[in-house]
Amino acid sequence: MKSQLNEEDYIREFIFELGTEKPSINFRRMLMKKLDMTRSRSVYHPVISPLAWKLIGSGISILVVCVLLFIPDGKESITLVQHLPDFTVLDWNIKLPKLIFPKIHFHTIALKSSVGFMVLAIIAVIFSIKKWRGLTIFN
Amino acid sequence: MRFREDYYYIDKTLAGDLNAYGLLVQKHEKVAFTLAKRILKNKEEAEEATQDAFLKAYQSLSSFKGNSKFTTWLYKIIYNEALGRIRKNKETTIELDSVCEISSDTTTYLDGLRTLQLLERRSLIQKGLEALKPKEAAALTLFYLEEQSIKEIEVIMNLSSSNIKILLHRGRKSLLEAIQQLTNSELIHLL
Repeated sequence: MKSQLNEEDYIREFIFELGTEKPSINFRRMLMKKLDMTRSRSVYHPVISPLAWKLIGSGISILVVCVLLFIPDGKESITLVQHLPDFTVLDWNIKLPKLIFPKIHFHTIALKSSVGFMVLAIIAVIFSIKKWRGLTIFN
Repeated sequence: MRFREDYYYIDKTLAGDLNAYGLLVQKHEKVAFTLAKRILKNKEEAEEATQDAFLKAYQSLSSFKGNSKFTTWLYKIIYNEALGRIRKNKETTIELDSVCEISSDTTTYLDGLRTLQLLERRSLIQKGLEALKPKEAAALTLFYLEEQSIKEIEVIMNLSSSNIKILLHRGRKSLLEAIQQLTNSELIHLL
């Protein structure tokens, strides 16, 4: 009995006939166990949340700005605020306790680093806000 | 059990539903395992490789853009995982260069093979596939069992279409040679 099938047809038929093989009964259970372990291991919870870091960054930035604006550089110099023209909004007679801050002298490198940090913190805050907005749109 | 489209399970998995991934595994585990076993020729190692491949697929599921079929993407991971294990183990595969010359009238031989009982034939084909080189076995399995197109196999195996065609041709020849070697001469004479 001579068949009309060619070599390729036979191979196709035989391989198809052979079908697939079953892995052991525990295969999926073991895999899911591994997956569970990987999942619990890969979820990282930082002690300080990104939001807290951003708040800290913003706080430091504000502090740096305040220092630059309000604390005079030397004995003879005046604060930047004092450069502003005098104007009175209301003549209230409120006596506030006089706070005396110690004079802090920052080194140029420290100042530059603080400004750099401040810029980076602002960028991080902007990107976070954009990301949250994006997530809100998708949800 | 009737399964849904792969994308249904992928979306659910990405939303955090691990059970959906379990169903996706259940849907593809047999073919995935078969492919790994045909390459590795060892059940235990094939199971490990398949598990690791599914694990890797889960971890990088978010990077699956859907440009290709999920199975193409999955089989590529399995294929690479299995080949990686072979490289690591440096296992020696059965070289078929030494196999005896194939008889000229292969269709007559294959016709005869067809008359064998199903179980005997399956056992013979299984052994023949086990004797193939890993890449040949992978190409034959993907092309004939999973009916993947040459284009898809190109992606999975990271080879050109001409290389795939050569692999398929060699695979067919090697399989026939292996089966012929496995069947004893009495059977051949009977046919």
